[in-house]
Amino acid sequence: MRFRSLATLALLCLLVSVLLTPACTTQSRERDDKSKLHVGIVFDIGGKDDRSFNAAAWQGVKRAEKDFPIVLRDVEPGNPTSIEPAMRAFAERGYNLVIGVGFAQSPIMERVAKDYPNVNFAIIDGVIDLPNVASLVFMEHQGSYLVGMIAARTSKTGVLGFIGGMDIPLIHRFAVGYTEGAKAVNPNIQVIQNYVGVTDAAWNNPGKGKELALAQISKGADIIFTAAGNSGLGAFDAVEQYGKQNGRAQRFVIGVDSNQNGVKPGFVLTSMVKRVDNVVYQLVQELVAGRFTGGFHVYGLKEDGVGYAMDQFNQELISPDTLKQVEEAKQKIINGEIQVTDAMKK
Amino acid sequence: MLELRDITKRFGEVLANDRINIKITEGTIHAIVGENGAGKSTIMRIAYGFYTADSGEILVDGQVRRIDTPHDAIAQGIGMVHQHFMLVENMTVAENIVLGSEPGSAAALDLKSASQKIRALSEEFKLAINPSAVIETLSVGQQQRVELLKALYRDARLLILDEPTAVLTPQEVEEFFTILRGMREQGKTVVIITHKLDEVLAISDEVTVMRDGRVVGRVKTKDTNAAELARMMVGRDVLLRVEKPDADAGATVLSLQDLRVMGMDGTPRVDGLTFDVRAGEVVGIAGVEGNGQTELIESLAGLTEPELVSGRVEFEGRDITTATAKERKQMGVAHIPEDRHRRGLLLDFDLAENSILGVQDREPIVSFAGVMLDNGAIERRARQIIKDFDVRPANPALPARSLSGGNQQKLIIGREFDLHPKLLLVAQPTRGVDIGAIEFIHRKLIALRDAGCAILLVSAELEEVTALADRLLVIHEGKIVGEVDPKVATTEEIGLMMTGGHR
Amino acid sequence: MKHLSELLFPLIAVIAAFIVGGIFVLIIGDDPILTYQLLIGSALSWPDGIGYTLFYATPLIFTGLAVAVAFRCGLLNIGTEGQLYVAAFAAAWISIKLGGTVVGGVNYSWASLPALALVPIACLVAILMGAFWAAIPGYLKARFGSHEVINTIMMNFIGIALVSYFTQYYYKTPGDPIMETAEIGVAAHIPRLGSFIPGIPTRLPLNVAFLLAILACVLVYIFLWKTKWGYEIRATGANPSAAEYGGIAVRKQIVLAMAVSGGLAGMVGINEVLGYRYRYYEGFSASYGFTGIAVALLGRNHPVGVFLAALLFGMLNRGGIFVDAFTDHVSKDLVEVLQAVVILFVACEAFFRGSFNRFSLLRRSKV
Repeated sequence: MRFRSLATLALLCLLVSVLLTPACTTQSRERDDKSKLHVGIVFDIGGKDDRSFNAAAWQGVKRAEKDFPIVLRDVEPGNPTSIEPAMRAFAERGYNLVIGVGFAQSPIMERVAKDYPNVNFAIIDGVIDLPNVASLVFMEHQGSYLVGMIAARTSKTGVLGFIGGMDIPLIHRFAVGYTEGAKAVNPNIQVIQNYVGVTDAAWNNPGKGKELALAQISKGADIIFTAAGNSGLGAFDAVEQYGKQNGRAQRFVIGVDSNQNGVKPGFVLTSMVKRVDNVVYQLVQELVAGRFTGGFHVYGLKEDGVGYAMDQFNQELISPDTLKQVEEAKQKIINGEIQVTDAMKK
Repeated sequence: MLELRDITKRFGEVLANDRINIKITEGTIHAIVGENGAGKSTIMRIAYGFYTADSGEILVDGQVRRIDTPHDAIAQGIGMVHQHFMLVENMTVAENIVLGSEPGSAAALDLKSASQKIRALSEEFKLAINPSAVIETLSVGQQQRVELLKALYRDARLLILDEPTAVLTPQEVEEFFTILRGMREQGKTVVIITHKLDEVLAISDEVTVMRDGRVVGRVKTKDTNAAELARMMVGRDVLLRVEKPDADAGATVLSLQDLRVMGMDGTPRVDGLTFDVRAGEVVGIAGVEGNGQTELIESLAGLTEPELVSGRVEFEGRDITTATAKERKQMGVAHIPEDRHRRGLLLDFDLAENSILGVQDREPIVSFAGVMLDNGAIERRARQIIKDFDVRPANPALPARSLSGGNQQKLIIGREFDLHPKLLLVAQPTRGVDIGAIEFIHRKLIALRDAGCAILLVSAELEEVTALADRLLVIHEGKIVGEVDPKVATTEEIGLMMTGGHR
Repeated sequence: MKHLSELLFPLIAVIAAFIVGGIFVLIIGDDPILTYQLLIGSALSWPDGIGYTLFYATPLIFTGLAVAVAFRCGLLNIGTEGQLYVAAFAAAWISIKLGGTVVGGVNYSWASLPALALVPIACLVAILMGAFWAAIPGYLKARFGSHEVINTIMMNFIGIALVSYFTQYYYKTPGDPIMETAEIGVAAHIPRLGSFIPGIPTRLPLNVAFLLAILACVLVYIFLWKTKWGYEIRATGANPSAAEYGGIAVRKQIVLAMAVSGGLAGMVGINEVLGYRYRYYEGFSASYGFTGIAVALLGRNHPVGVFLAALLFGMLNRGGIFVDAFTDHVSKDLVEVLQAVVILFVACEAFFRGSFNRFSLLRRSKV
């Protein structure tokens, strides 16, 4: 008995000493040069390796870290309750810019940004009406319009597919732009639209994505535009299943967010890219130059915030003629001659 | 043949064996007696290599030997039969016996020659065991003989038997003793650990008495008697017979009419019992264990699923056939269960909490708003029971687990007596209980009877039921096969009825 | 003394976990001492560190207590996750219905009650809903003997899916891309501690639910050890045969224990919905229900232990974010490693304790 109580006491002392030592130290921050600007980025639940949206943001800040004298720290919260404290962790430590990735973070960032008016915040894909928050939104409908044109000009069946992730206005924006672009080329073209689901899980269900793609193909669709995160990858599998004839794929997908042309080379007609990396990079650049401003930052074709991806994987797939027409349309959109409907502005 | 010198063994703070000296003469039957906790099993387990002594030495045939494992013991010709058999139920006798000492090469199990040897041993010692019989088809007595064979097969010259008669019927005990005597004649030495004095006197040549981890007496059996042995075991004079006046039976308290209780497998366990128990009498149920006694008592206590019970049970004229355990308790039915660990106690709870099991929802245990437990009342009740029933150690805050079997039983009995029952159902009240406590429990039961309580008693100890009961019913395969007057009937007579024969 | 030795094993487990975690940190390529300083320092800094630690501990206290109560009755309630989901939704639902919620011209509510009435009602609804959701598997166990582990897991799926459905199709603000209900009425908000305790900044989400959690610890203690119901539940858990013998309706205890357990789990909804987000938000639970099992295990199914274990896990959650953000290589997963190792060691306790107590067991066995 005595031995046990002694052991207990010893362990208690040990624990107390472990607990007390760090109370007065902040050594780990010493490595973070105080003279530099500090940038913190809080990813979405998906994490920085999602090969899409988060990954693009991560590339952008990494590039900025290389080019500018900044200290960069990141958090992958993993669950929704950790997002707020992660943002606050950066704000508490006096970071100069805190970037939140994804619309789901906007209500949280709104709360945090109110508490730290001297810290700059930026939200990607979300809108927060505060002077110290930059809301970075993309005109996905413009990019979608262009890939819609490409699809319509490439399609042999006159039937196109669209697979959205979650059934929300943001994704409707893709669908509407895509349809308008296609109809501009061929007013009689048919666009079949499906959504994977209505919950968060809709972004992460490639099985369902594939099912939807196969169903659309069976209805005649030969080009499918996905705006469905990971679920979209199911559609990639589906078109691959139809193989190639004379070296050319029979069915195509159009990727989204980042350049996905290389995911299934030959089967990806193009990708509707959101240049999150460019935008984030620019943002840091503005911060370093002392030109950071809050408010709306809209990135369309004009700002090179959206676009379609051309590279070695798809230059054979799209005719120069088509490209010429698409480039013309792009100019017209930039000039305002073509107005693409924004599904989020009703 | 075997000598243990100055053996001391400590478990934590408990001194289980304190400088034990025991000398066992070759070719004799040596009894080691003592109450539970006296250290008799410990010392024999040391001799068998199950435990290692802290100090002292073991001599075999006059030579000091190290016995650290049972393997060492077997090599020295020492075998042991445990209270709980260690047999594989669905294997044959021969397979069980060779288990751990497979003959021939490891690859080819030579069961044939093993069977021959077993058959020879079985004949030599008159064990009547067929080597190819499957264990689960054998009776308990036969299984015990298989255990004996197991030791003999390994050429044991000394057999240590731990409480061998606990599981046997009176007839089987007699047969078993005949076997032991036969072994003695063949030159084997037998050590028998027991706390039953009549058996000691019947079978042994020499007796070693232990108390509180020490040897307190060594006598030749022919020079002693039960009273002397009991005095040595307990340390004071013990009343071995139950002194009781004749019953003054009053009104019928419990009445069974054609009670049937089904087992979970659909076979009847209690098969049409009809009898009464009146106030102020003890009705004993004698029978070999497993003949429906358990089911009878449990169903009367309201612990059996109602759909398994048919017939009619009346308590003070009211039909209680489907009453719940709680309702029966409230009417005044108390129950001392046969298995105190499974039914009777919450082993991890302290004595105080155990003392209120069954009355946890009654005044004065619950006070405020009929919901809150009154710690003061609980403690008072616990202390009262501990005092009245001499529960030791007398500390209500100890977990029930830490008490000896006798003290656990006294706590349960005290708790049930405190209900001031009109009917007491009591099963195996003194199983695993020390002699001193047995005497105490018996006196308490008679006192309760004399206070006008009706008592239904089930016990595997024939001696106990005959001593306590005013009327004795003998049960066999769920049926009452006869009623005898316990003052007149002989053990043989009752024993025969218990096995289904008629008088 | 008795209580000190009760703490011994959990303490060893925690220390061992930190050592194992430290080795991992070293392998990953960071300094374990600095990492732990960051972890613990950020979790105990005043006021944000402590505030968040307590905020994170709050749901774990509730779920830990929930698991502990069920466990005391011999039941393993794996369904606290589902219970807290349905309870949180129910709390949001009633607070919308009676809180005068109007969004974008759409009136969601029946009435607009004052806070004094709405808050207790919302809390009660959360508790009752959690209790109801847990009582179903309890009843199935009592009535049909079907195993509560299987059924509570099933109820998790059903509960979470059902709540998603209602959120999506009935209570979401039109056009909101996030799976969440409309905001609850202001009258249903429970105050943050900062709003009435000077010195605590109001930015901390720590709210009155934390005080409720402390109260719940006290009440659970009283319930289990000072009431006849608690006695009957514990007796059932300790030895159902003996409980039955003692006139305790074992089946009723199973349903009761599950209901109490579910009610406690449901109180997570109070913290999340009424005290933090002011709406039901899909995926709000960072596996509180499952972590609650670990908390109960570490806390030895005792309210005091649960409270301490929840604080520890709260600390780890808080510190984990800082470790993730401010170290070069170590990610937040370190916290999961620590938690896992703690549980592993605590689970091994039976083994260790076995060898610890072998002597005392022998002492008790028949000699």
